[in-house]
Amino acid sequence: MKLYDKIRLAAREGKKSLIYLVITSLLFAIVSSVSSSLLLTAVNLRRDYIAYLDKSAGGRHEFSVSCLNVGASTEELSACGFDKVEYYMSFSEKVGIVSVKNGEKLKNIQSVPFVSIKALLSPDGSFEYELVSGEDIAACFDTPQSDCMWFNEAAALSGGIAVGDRVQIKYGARLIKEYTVAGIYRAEFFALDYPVIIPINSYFDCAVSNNADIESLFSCTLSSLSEFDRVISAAEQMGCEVNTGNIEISLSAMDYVYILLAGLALLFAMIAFFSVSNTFSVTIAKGSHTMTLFSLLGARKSSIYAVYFFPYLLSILSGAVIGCAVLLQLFSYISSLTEELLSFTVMLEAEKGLILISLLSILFILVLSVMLYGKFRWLTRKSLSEAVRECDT
Amino acid sequence: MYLIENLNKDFKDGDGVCCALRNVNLSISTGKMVAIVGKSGSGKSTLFNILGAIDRPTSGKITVEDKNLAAFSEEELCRYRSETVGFVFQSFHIIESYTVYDNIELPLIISKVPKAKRDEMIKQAAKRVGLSDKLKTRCNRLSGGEKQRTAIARAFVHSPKIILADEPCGNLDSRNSESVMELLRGFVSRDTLVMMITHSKADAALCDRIITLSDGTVVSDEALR
Repeated sequence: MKLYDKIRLAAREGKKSLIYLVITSLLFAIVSSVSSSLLLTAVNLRRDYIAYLDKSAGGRHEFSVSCLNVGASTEELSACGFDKVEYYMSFSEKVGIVSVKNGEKLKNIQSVPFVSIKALLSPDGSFEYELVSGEDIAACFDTPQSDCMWFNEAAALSGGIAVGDRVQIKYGARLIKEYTVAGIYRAEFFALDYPVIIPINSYFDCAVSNNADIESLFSCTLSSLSEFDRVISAAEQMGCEVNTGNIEISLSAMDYVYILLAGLALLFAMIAFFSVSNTFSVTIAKGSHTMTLFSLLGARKSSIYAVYFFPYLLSILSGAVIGCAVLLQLFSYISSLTEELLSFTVMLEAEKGLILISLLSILFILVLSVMLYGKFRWLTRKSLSEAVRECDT
Repeated sequence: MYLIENLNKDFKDGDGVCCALRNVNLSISTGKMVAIVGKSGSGKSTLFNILGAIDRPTSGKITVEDKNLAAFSEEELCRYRSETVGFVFQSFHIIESYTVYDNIELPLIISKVPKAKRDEMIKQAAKRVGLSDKLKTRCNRLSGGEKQRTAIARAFVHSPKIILADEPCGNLDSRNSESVMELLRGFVSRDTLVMMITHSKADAALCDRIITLSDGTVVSDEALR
């Protein structure tokens, strides 16, 4: 059978089942466009929500990260993917300060937080102090291995500490490091928060060697939440706890919405598939007499198959074209709806939608042609004489 | 045209086997109109199906134009059905939703006759069966006689060498039967053969030869002319 004749016969046979082919076409158009819109919304929702959050935060999302001991340095946290990491403070419930002079523990400054000189004296630090006596804190800025310590005036008075005194920092019974009181300072606002100031790196080194559980707090910044999952997960793998506030909850909510929308998209695609395959089964069943006759007159099975495949192919392709038109309308509707409901717009790219519908069409054509072929084989498996007898009855 | 030797056809019947044809030996030449008669279940339709390449024999040899039909591949059987034979059935087997023209055109499409030649061939075939004025009519609007004439035109439009007719007048009144028999008779020539299955003694009497089957065997083979 020549191609031209195959197409003519296909048109005639298609005409017989026109209503089913139209239903198939419209069904595919609607379901494929809805399915594609849902899937793209699912995929783009999180992306656009992140862009919205990034814009709202001015490209600076801050998280407080607490790491046990001194395992996490600023460099290591930076390696997790944070754009900026700043040490904030360290503290431990078990750390105490003991004066060597009289051998007694200074009870009133137990469980003290320490603050690093570097953090305090950085250009954007707002620490304002006044030196009461002794050596200026700034002198130790470039010598972090120093064993000098600075006392807040109130803490020094309550513990009877003077410049030149020797004090020990102990972790339970274990000595971490011995320091010399190098200066007494006055800074009213920070008096309770920072009773002592020490060169923090030297303290950390000693704390590590003495197995002290020191918890450090860092302030970490991400410019975009697009890497949120990876960065937070890397920090958590280092044993750090990241306080993500509401961001994690809202991103998790977006993940659930993604699963819901993607599931709906899949459901729609499956509905389309079963409906389309069902209407085609009807089409084939209606054509069984004609198939037998074609076979009786000597047509090859491949030619007969082609006659039934063409209308089906045309139906899916026309459905895809209508689907693309519906899709564009749906995209603008979804964008305006998200703007109204979520305060940000989910941008759905038309090109991606068209590609998705095309892929869906190809998938349908492939899978349904296999199904159609199976159905056709089943119909033609019986002997021709049997088929002719069935037509007679 | 046909040389049939030791032809057997068995069908599975539950756990047993039913012999539809047993050692049938026949020689049928062109230029004749042959009637195959017999009671129901005598094997007429089985023989018709085998000669029309609709079914395959269990054993035996059927020589058509120096080739063994029993050994044909699927491809060769298709070609045989589309080029060598034309079929006429009691229940017409035409596509009701097609026009007379479209139905007659089908064998030409299948045997890849160029489109330019088809129109003339269809018109000639329609003229021969008296349906020239009905070419554009849908077959579901035709009478039984007209439908059978459409089927006959479709059977010979591609000039096959054999026409196989299974009870061609079974669904027709006497006037239409007469007309159909005349048409079939008119198809017989030096190079062509018409074989017809019939229950009607009157129709069989119009043929050149009557082969009678009973229980799958040939019980009589009578030449009338």
